[in-house]
Amino acid sequence: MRTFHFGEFGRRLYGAYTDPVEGRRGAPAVLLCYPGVHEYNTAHWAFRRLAASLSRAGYASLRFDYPGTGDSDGSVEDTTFASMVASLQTAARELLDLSGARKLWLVGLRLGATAAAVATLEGLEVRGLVLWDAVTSGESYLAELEERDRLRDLLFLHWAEHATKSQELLGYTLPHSVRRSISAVNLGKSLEQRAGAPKQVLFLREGREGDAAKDVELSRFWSEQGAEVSRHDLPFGGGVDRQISGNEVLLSSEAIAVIVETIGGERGR
Amino acid sequence: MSEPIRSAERSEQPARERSSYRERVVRLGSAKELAGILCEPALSPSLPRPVVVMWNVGLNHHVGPYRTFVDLSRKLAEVGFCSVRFDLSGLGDSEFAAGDARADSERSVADVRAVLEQLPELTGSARAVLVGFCSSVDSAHAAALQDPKVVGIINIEGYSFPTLGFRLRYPLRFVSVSRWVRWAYHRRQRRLQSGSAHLADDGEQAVYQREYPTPGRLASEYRRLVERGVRILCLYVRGDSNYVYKDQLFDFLGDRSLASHIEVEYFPDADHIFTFTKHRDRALSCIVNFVRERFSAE
Repeated sequence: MRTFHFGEFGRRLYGAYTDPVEGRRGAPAVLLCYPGVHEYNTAHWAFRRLAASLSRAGYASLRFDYPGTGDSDGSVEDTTFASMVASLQTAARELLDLSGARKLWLVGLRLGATAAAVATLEGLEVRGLVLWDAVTSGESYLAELEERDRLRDLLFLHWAEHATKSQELLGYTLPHSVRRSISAVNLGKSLEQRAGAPKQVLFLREGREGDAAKDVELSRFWSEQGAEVSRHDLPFGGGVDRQISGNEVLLSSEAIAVIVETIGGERGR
Repeated sequence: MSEPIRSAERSEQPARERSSYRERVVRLGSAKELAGILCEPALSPSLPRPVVVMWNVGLNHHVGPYRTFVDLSRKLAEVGFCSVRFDLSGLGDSEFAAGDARADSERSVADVRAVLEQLPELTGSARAVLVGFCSSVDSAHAAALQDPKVVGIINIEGYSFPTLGFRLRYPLRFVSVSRWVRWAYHRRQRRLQSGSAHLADDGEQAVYQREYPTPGRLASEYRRLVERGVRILCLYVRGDSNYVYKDQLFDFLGDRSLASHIEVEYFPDADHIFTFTKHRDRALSCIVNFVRERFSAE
């Protein structure tokens, strides 16, 4: 594993690059896209394990921190949805440059999956796309985080103070500009751009009904664009009362196995 | 690709940033297996000052809960202090040395000491202030006892034991509205759910079990550190903890004389990981002030 900063001075991104244990000629490289600010810490361990699994299967990967998250420059005010998509594009170039690969897969979790899908629709050329519990509506996503925030405050004995909070969500500042940028996310509407389409799309879902319904629309869209679309349902992780503190660790062996198998499945095609 | 691939700026060197800090990625440990970030003031102080060192809280990687350690590093740089935040072996972005059969607690202390060995080369200073947060207080405390390079410790939510003062104040929790609301929620949940939740609770306790020192041993070890001139700051919250008044530390240590050498900051409204930003900001200010006031002149 190699850790480093990359990108423009003053707006550098932090990345962790993992080489394949045994390189394969023509193998794609895999860009791992964390969820947004509020779910980032939770996902770090699972993404590290995913990178290690991909490495053993022969694939290079890059995990990177969006502006204002992890060890990247900036503060949480800089983590708008647009900055997530832009940094994802920078990281994609970085990964291709580092690995020498010519093909790219994007694996995104939650808001990271949405950013991956939008970057693809805007023209980022990718071989495959894994949308792991993708957020399809920014409004619904914020409503879910707010429900989780209310429950967290109840459990952490902040019930009496909850109503007095402003511009704060699940332990992080949420400025109006960032809130607006997330509220405006509408993956269905983004399909109108139609600038790019992957060859293969995998939907991983953990049983959010509204989002799952949206997957049907997305699946149809990408099928019409010629992509091979598949779907895998994960065991239900517990809904809103999970990941209350933003400090838990997501462990999803099944998701990791399915992702590695799917990316590996394109070998020989 | 919509754009041609260009050679990106990729660097382990400090960036020329407009801000008050410079950060660079460092590899630490004898085999460079530990991943870390060195954060320095944009303008280096004329005299080398102690370096503040922090690492994983539980399974969290080195940025800490709610990015606390990134914010702390950058605030320390504003007042002229370098810091290193890093991942212990096998956690975050650090590698795990194959064949290392040591217990986690032993390995953690060895990792911290390995980083301390490299501070002169990295920063020009051989002295360190360690930050322990929750479970990482164990390795901070042990490393401080073993290594004379440690001149300060900041224990966030460290060791705590019930005292008479705790028992006398215990009934006060029954007048807390927030506690009654939570109690009602849990009662409702228990009715709705099966007994499987209890099994999960037991498993969680097993994972997070730690070896606590006795209050007597802790007092003796704190005395050793104080005699060596180590400055100590302890931050405690009320939240769900057994720590319910500011001076409880000295009561369970059974030694009021330590109060002149150990500073305590108490946050009656905060929770264990400082989830409200106002509590976190106050805690970080306390830490930065402690470091600046106790170590600037050295």
